Amino acid sequence: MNNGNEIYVLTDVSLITCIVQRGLADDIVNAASEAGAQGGTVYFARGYGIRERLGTLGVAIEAEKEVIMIVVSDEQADRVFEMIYTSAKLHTPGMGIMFVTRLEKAATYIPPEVIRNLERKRSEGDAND
Amino acid sequence: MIDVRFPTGKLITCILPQGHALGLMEKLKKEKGITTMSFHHARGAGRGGHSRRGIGHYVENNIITIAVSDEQADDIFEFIFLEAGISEDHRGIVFMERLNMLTPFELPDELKGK
Repeated sequence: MNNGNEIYVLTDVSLITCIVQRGLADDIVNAASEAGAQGGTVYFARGYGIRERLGTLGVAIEAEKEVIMIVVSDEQADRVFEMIYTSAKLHTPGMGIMFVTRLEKAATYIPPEVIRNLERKRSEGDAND
Repeated sequence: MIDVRFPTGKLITCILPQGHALGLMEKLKKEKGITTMSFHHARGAGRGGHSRRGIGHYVENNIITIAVSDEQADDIFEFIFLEAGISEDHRGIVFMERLNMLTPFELPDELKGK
């Protein structure tokens, strides 16, 4: 059991970061959720760069951005990445960018039943060795 | 060209419920001597608790980012986990990634301990 003094560290996890125009983040988090992500965190930022090269007088692209952070397991990363890419239309110039960074470790609340299952599997594995 | 070799390091990111960042940063400064950190506000949504289908509604979060040396990283990670109560439900997440280069940040002697 996790009594608060033990740390169950998650490995094989990645962080997907997506930067899009303001107002699009909610749909992206929903799309990621459909692909299996557990949730997402969103904050505002100001972008600079391609806006000056696209559109008339630079008004086509919102300077105000939303940055979305989603932590996923490595095995989910491709699926969630593709889902976001499609739903955010990132193939269109100026819509935004997205990248994946490998996390060394992560820790968060893990439900007791999940820990029990993992410990049972581990003890079964030890018994088979 | 500058001929300086910068050390590698770790970036620790901690997503906490709104209002918890300043207290944790104060503890990191006082008890661990960390001065290379900042926080900003965000909103977050996740599964469980609030909604049975899909993600729940958004709640306000604080995101702390801390750049630390390789030697300090595991200790600081553990400190944050325990002090922020990350093992409890709805208390956030902490994660760590590798930094290829990190500029050293040392306070002048006269400012240390203030």
